[in-house]
Amino acid sequence: QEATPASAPLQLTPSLDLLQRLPAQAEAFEPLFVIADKITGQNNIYVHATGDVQLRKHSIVIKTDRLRYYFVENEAVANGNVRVLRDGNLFTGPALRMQLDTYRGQMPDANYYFRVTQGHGHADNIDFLGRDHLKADNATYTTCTASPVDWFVQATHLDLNLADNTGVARDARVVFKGATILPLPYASFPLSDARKSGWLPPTLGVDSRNGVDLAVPYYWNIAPNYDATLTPRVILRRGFMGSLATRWLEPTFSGRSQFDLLPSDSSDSGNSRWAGYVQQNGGLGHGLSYAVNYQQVSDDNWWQDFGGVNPVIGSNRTLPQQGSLTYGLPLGYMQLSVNRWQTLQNTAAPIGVPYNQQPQLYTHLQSANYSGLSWQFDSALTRFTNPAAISGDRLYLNPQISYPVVRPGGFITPKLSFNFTRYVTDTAMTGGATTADRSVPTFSLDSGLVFERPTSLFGRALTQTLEPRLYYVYTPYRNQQNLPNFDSADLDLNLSTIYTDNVFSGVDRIADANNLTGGVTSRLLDPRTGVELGRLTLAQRVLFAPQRVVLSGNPIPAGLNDTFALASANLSTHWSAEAALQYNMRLKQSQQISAGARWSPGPYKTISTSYLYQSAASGQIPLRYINTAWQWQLSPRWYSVGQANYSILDKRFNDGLLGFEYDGGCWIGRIVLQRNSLTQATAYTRILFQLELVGFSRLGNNPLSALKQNIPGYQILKQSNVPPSRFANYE
Amino acid sequence: CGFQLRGSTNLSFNTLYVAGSETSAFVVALKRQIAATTSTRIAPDAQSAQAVFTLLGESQTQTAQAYNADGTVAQYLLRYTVRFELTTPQGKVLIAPTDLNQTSNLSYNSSATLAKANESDLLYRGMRQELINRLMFQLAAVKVN
Amino acid sequence: AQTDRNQPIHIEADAMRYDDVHQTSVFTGNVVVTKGSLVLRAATVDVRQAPDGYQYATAIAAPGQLATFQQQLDTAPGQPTQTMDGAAQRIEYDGKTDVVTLRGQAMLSRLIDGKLADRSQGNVIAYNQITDVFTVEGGAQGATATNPGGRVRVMLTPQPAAPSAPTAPKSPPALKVAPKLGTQP
Repeated sequence: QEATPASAPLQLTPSLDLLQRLPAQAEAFEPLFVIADKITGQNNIYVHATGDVQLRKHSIVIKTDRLRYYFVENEAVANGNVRVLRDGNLFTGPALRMQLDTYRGQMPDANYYFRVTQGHGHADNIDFLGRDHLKADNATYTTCTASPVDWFVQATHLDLNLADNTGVARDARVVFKGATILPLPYASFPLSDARKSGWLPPTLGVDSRNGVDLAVPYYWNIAPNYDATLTPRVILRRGFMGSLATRWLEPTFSGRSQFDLLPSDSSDSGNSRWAGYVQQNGGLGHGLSYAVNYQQVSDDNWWQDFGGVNPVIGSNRTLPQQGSLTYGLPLGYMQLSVNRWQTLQNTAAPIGVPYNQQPQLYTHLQSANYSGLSWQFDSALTRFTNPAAISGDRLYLNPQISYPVVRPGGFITPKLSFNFTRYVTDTAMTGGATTADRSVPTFSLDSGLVFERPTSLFGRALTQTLEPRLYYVYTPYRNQQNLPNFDSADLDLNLSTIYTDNVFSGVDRIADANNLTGGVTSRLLDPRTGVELGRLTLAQRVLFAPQRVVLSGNPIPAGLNDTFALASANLSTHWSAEAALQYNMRLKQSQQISAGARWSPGPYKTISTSYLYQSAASGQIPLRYINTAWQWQLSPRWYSVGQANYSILDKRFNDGLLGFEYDGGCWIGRIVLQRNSLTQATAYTRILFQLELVGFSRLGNNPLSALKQNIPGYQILKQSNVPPSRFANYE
Repeated sequence: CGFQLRGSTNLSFNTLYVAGSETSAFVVALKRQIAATTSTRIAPDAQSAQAVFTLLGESQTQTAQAYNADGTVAQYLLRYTVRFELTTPQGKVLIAPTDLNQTSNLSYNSSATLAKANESDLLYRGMRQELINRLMFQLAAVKVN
Repeated sequence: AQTDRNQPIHIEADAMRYDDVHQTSVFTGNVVVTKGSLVLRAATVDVRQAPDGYQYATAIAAPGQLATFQQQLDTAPGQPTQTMDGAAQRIEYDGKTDVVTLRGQAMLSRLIDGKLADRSQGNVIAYNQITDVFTVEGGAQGATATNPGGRVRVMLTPQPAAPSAPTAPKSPPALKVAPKLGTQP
């Protein structure tokens, strides 16, 4: 029903199949037109034109005051205000000599402009070396249009290959605002926004732990499906560090990795500090696929000293070392996996060490039908080891059958599942035994209806839904007091977890249950598009019998228990809000409140804030946090970006970032102040400068990738725009 | 008060082609939901379908929201975002490129890493189902004339 | 061709009269002048015999039409034949200098094997049959709707075949490629 508007302005869009150039052999027969005020010539010998002369060919246009063309040599000699146009690139100079079939020639005192990057410059002399190849002596290159130009590259030799769009500058230097900021003995740079090897924007940082830190990454485009970023980095207080990040993509596998090495850390008695990760997944054929995610660092303080160096490892303290082999079955899959962790322990404030699963054999099968009798079977045989806790083996089998009846107006799904688990532990469990079994059935009945009615809000026609839902669970009590706990914990209460059989995650704890969770969801929908403008969900859990299986504290008595409320609204594309409340009727206390709003009125303008309250009830850690993140365009040139994570209880910023980006048209400057808390008392602050020369230093992975992650809706400045078509500045 | 039981959840197009990587859990779950709740069949290719659903992007991100005393993360915000568009095989836009996202909080402490890994899978599965529910309302509103 | 120089002139026309004031004979009505391989067609042509024996002709086209001329060029044996085609409102032939001058919407084309190779257009084209040199001049009076500036155009098609033997009698001036570009060619 939305007919495309007929009056939509016609857009000249570059298309790859438009024949921009005649094939080579056709070019040999190309007619040549000379237009001038006066022309004399001798057939097949020469033509001499004067007065605003234009020599036009399909592949080249030469404009000059005087032109002499020699047939035999097929050479044009031009003098006076010479302009050469070729593929949208423009060369101007006082004179030119060029052969029109091989395009070999020479132009002194030349200015040039490249269409794709809008880069331009001046050279004492240009040697045209062929169809797509030219060399410039004592040349400059910049993409700045305003004059005086903010930056330019000065090179004694500039070698430009217009076929694969790369420029190479030899013994050059980068001059920014008049000052040489970077000597470049050799630098290759892109003449288009295609992936090309080249220097990425250098980042200069000063932080309270490492002092001055300068990183100048180099992007190396090895092949269309392989690339690497080498980052030499100088850290004043520690020494020289090198990082190598690579990515690879093959038909049957793909992956990425990064290794960082600081050979000898002067702040750590010369030890070598390193970190590395490899992530790869792929298929081996015959239904077999594998995945690897291996991360490791040299010592336990890596996260404090080098939190910002490796984007994947970051300042994580439990580093996964996982590998899995998966075999696809007709109705599911089997997976053999090893899952270990490197925990960066801090003896002063030790943190919990997760269990290793070395190995685990997991099976998952599921019936293929969607309604009517369906079944599911899960099982896993796992060896759990932990240096600081009881190690042992566990086998569990979990068959499940259900009979979903799905209608437009509602659904009902009775489900019966059974969990048999056997433990064999290395050392005695509490209670002395080293083996234990547990078998427990669960019955659940999930049902819901969907009502609709037309309504209106502030005069706007809407559709409102009413979706009541009842979820009953019955699980008999099994004493699991003495069983080890490898992978179970309390589930937070939210939209995804209010309707589940087990209030614990994992397998080791299955709560006895005789409870009913009733709830209702009401949505406000735009009738024309079906877009959800708002939603309210209320749910109340009532226990008909006390829940005796608990991880901590005493059993939960019967009666009203958790109440959950969630409201969200996005009445216009510009703003959205969401609030969730978890209230405990029995304790008459709200256990968790979270609220958030996001407002993004336009491009580069987005701000989101969220509030989190968590009570100290039932063993939770009391938390009261305010998080704010924004990217805001202050003026056509200035952009601010920021993120703050403030703990009300501790009255301090745990994690903060404040940055300003200046769009100088042909360059982008970034200054970012970053503050991360390490422990309760210590934190480290960091100032980062970054200079990006648009069109010269490739916009590689923004070393401030933190900006993208924790600021929802962050948009990178200077998205690569579509290059002007060859006919854009047609003369 | 005017509420009636929802009549039908059928879509105005009888065949739909879902363009997106086969291994994407969102694509698998969407095909399952369409087969279970509508009379629309999944077409093997775009040409033979009356409408083409293209999954332009699917991302699951996890950002720290709160910290423990020892500096480790106490609470993560999980965000599940999908970007999609619905067109006719000839390219006429039925639903312009749209972003849908859901968020959930996940408390965390490092000794419960395995348990929290299970819980985050559960949360992503729940958010995916909620995204699909919201998407089905949008697909139902499309009129293919 | 060069042999045209000493060929006799034949002229056909509807009518002819002798203008003894200017000692020219004036031919009017579908005039066709042939001299060896040179063929000139126009509405009126007047031919004058100068005392020194050289002949001068002026051909004027009917209003709205163009006078035309064709001429065969000498080519080396085995080379494709080349002809020159000219058209203009007024064509002057100077027997002494062997220069043909075309005035008004002038167009001079060179055809190889009947296929158009080069073409010059302008207000005035002077073509020297001996030296094979042509000069094309524009100027305001040559302005037309499509060419308001009265600009001059030349189209050249490079011949990729074996370099065709130059048609001019004299060997081409030795062209020395100047290593250093001079300001004046």
